[in-house]
Amino acid sequence: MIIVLLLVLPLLASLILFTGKLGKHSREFALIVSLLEFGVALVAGYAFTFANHKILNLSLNLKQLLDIDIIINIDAVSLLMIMLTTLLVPVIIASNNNRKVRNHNFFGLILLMQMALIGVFTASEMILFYIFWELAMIPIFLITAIWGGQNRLKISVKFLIYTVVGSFAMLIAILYLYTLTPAPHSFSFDAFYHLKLPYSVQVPVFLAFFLAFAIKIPLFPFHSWQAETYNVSPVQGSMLLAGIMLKMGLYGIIRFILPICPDVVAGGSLIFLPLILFGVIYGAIIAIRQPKLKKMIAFVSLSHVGIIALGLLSNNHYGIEGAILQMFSHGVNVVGFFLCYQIIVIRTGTDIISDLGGIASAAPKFATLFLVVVLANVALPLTNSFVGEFLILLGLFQSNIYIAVIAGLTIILGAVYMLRMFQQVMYGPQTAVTTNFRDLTVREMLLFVPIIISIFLVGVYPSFVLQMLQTAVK
Amino acid sequence: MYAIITISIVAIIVLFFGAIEKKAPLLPVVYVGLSLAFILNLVGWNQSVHYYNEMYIADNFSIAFNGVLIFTTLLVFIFAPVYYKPVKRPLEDIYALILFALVGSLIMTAFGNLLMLFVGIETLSLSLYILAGSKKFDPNSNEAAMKYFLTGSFASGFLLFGIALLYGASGSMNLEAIKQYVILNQAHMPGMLTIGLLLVAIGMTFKIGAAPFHFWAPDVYEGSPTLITTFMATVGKVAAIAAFFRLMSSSFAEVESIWKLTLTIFAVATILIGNLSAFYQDNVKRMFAYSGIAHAGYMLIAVIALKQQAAGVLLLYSMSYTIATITAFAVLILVREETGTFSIKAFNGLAKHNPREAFAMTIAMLSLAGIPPLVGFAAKYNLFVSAIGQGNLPLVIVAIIGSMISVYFYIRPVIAMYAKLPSGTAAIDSSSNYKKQITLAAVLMILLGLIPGVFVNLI
Repeated sequence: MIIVLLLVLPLLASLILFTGKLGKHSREFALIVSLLEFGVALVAGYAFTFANHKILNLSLNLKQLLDIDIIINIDAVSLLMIMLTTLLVPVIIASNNNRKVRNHNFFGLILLMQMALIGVFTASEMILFYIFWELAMIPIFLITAIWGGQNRLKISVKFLIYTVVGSFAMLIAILYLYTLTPAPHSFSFDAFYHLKLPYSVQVPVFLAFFLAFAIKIPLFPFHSWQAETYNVSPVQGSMLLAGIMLKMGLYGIIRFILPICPDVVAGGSLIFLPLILFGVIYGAIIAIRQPKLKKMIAFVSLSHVGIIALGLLSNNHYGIEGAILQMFSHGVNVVGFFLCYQIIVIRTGTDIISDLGGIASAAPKFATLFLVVVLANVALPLTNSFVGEFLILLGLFQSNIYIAVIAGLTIILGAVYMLRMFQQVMYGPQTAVTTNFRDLTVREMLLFVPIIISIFLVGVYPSFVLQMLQTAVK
Repeated sequence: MYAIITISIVAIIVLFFGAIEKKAPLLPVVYVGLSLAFILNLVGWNQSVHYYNEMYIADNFSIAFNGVLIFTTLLVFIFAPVYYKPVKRPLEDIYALILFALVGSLIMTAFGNLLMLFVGIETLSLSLYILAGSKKFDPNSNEAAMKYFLTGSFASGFLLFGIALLYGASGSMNLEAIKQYVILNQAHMPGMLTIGLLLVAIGMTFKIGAAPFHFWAPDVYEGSPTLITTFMATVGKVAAIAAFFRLMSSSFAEVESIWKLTLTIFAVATILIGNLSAFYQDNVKRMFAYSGIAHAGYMLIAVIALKQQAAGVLLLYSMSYTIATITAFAVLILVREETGTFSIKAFNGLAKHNPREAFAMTIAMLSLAGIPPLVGFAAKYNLFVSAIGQGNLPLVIVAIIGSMISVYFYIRPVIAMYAKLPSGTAAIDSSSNYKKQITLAAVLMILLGLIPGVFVNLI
């Protein structure tokens, strides 16, 4: 029943928020609910590790009433993603101190999104999955379209069109696979996994799923919505997008492409590995030249998730394990990065890198935390990204040495753009906007606590997660 | 049958009240009469009664669809006092005509004989011709009525000619007899029957507003009074598609080969033309005309895939389409009343002053676009599943591409309402009556989305 609680709690809370009865207390209410949700997720994690798994599965036959069967269950991958979601959502809610955006609907949408995301990560029935998948899109679209910056309408509609195209492609694939399941047809994941498709069928199925996921992640030729949307969205929206939502696409690859189209993946995923690889390098190079901090984060993110996708499609269990772990790490790191970005923007009113400088001498505490986040993004040993990226590269090396070597370049490029940015923003002479830079308040430091803890916890002691994943990957 | 009698009597009472110039009792009589008809309609559930030598068949299919039609008409009447507020005279003629049109549509879903089909269609159409022109001094309304009448009577001609040919080939107008004849002559179909079926199909396609016989729809929808457009777009369309489904499934299900390809082409064309044309409309009313065309295309898919559960799927689809369309039109009427235009710009900033109306409109739009978890998604998904189960994958892919396109134009009013600043100076204030009705429609839409399975498995 824990699983029901995980879904229902944020849903109810968001409905309460939408009524607007809470007024000024909306933010506190949302924060408390999201912390409770994290508590529930911890209980689920405890149950998964130490107790029996029964309470983590739910199967209801509601064909007569709802026209779908509700099958939800939590395995290691789901659990990790639920942890990520429930860990980040409180941070995202608490990080909001923009008075203009302090609206009950805003928090209601965030919680609704959380519910949809947890639904995506737990559903074990195709149509249920699809419903949650689409439901997750609506709140983020509205957040961008209503509270976004300049040009928000055009950009949010572009984002919407992109994702809708992708999800309809997925819907076609789902319906097609449904017809292939033995009669009586079924939409459950198990039925889909038992299909042994011939290669000629796997290719179109792979293409349809890949289109949907590549748009969501986003991967190279389908990424053009990303930088604009991140840029125009309020920071909380960008955190949701980069931290959690793009994991939906990667999660989709794990759930569908790997088990349903194994031969395509084993054969090198058609022509897509080089394309993704190109996107990885391309994102990194653009990130070096990017004058605006927020856009830079977008391109860094493009580069990093490309690596994760390469790991997932490497057809090697090290690569897949590393990629799953890196999904978690990337979410944490990118949200940490956005937190730092938000602090800089609120204090200085600009995010143009060349206008900043010398913050470190004015705000030593902030400098330390920012450095930790930056180093985690660079994948320094002892931080979380190191474990993931190392495993991904190891896996790639075993499957395709050329791709591994070129992908390894991104670690160097990553150090270049990250450290260069850090040097320009934090060191050097102070500029007009940074002279009165206040150091962090206690409230802001608290925001970093979950981020820093997970950076080091996963970085120093990754084996407890990896052990869990190993069984799941097999 | 009792429902038809009740509604006819109510229509006559309404005319009578108009004759003695009493305005007050008109609508209450209509409400009570329609509610009574709704209940009487449900009485025959699971009994499959035949009337007058199988002229009229009250089986579960017709009862379910008649329920939808009566309920939809009731909703239309609920919005009538708001729409006709400025009009002082009793309006008995318009109400009575709507009721007579409803009677026609009830006959259409339940016919057991091709003659009854024709009688039903003509009862519906003749009333609609007059209703389309019921804004006597508005040239657009007159134009709509004229266009509708000319093209519509032409289509009726096709239909009648087709019926004659079917009769000539099979020797009967009874659906069951035609079915027997078709099964007997399955090996080599006489050309007369094939041509007759094609002509009937053309007539029906015209009535549901599907391509390539859809040209009347945008102009007629735009020119007619909005309340009548609502009625036309919901009751008119659902009755016609239900009649078409009944004809195909009870007489021609065994000879798919002679009509499947034609109808598939019609459906593909309808979906693409409807969605692509709606894409370019700045006039919301016109956009709904094209959206209605596109939905006619989706409903044609149910006719093409008429085995298994398709009847239930069509029922769910009709319900989701009618309720969403009525809600959208209700908001449109309100917006038009305040701003004087049907342009998409009229919706700018609506959410600021009228959050309830904006919310209802959003739900309606997202449901029409087929976004989960609303009922529109459940309807489309069931439709696609039943079609794909019978090997219509290419058709479903086209339909999904159509839905993809439709998201854009359905989301435009939503964006205008929430993210743009109001263009006018004054806030739109709606009467408290209206709020209740719009809320009712929105709640219905959400409730329906919670239990779609019930309707799919109903018939």
